[in-house]
Amino acid sequence: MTPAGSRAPLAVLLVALAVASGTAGALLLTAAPAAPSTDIGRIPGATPAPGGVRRGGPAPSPPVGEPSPTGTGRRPPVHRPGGRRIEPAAPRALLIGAAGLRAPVVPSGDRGDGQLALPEDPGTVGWWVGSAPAGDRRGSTVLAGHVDSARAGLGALAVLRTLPVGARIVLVDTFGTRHPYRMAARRSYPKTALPPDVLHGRDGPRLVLVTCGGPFDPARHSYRDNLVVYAVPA
Amino acid sequence: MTLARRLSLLAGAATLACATVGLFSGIAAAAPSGQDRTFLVAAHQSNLTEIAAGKAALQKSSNGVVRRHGQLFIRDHTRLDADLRKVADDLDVDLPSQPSAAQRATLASVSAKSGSAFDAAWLSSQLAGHRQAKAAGQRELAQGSDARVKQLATAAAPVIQMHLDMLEQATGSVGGVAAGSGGQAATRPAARTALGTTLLALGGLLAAGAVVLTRRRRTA
Repeated sequence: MTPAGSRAPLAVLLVALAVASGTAGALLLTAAPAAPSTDIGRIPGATPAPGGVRRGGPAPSPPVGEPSPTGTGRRPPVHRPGGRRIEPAAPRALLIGAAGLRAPVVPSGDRGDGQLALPEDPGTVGWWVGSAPAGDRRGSTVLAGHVDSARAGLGALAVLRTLPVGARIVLVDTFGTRHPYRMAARRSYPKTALPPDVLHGRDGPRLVLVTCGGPFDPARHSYRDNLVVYAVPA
Repeated sequence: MTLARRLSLLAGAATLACATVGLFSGIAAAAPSGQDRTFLVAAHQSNLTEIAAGKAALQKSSNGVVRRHGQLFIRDHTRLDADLRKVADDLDVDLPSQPSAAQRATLASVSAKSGSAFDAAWLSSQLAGHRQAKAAGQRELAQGSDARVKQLATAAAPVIQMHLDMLEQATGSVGGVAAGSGGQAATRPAARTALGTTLLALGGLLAAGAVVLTRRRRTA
């Protein structure tokens, strides 16, 4: 057999591999991306738009002092079985039993450019100090945290991506009181179009957990979207 | 039941009652130290100050964050003070009915301002007040003697620390959340794009290899 003859099967093999690889690559690039599985449940406090169903976006928040348009308004005071009234207070820990999560919570403010100043450690969650305290009978209690960091890996709120509707979420406040919530909905919003109601909602009572999601831009070390989980008092 | 048995039961109950009374009077009799008294008075006046300041914030400020702080401080310090007054009552410690002269003067000067000047003065006076309250609690824990008074300082410590942390974060208004810099949590589309491109490139390289091989065979 000549050396040229021995190359023939190799060439055929290369062509076959080229076709297979090229086809797989083209399919991956051209096939429509899987429908986002992030959006589930019904957002608590969201008002359906007149004549149609709202998609994703919660209701715009009413001006200060106006009654809630949904009529949910202020809930009556909650009492422990012992009779002592449960007071709202600043959250100090976030527990999500289904995900085996127990994360410390610290207050977070504006970092100077209109963005929330999140704790650097993705294992710690920030509570927006302009939002309602844990267990408040109206308004949104807003917690946010890094989904990950280049140094520390996945963060506490990475569990939000797969949390099912109905999952129990507990906030422990500075007095040690536990405030239970139930996961109601999850939405993904482009960061550039985060509805103001997510951070400043006056409906409720509800708990809003915010982290990052969607495609990652390695050049800017940044995610495209905000992933938002809504929960209601259990 | 015989009379003797009834009498003996009664005597037993009486002994038990005396022992119980003795136990409680034993606790009440242990007088709090000077440090315990000083702490009770200082912590009470600090609570009264934060409650009054919280009310001033609700009356005068239109800043949502300052108002949130005011609301929370009123609630938290009212709770802390209710527990404190019970202990002071049990220990026969008289509590003043208003903040100290210095605290009242500070509150008056803050309340005389308005707009953003009020907010800034309010936040800085609250930072100073809470730092003093934290130091008073630490002094009680180090030098106090009554267990119930020290317990008040222990229970108040995380609440006062939270208020301090909140005050340090209390600036501006927030409109967005930038919450990830690692990329580990990225969803599939990005990874898919990368894989697809790599496979296409690999396919191109393999095809080029096949062409080269075929040409060499022809020339051979």
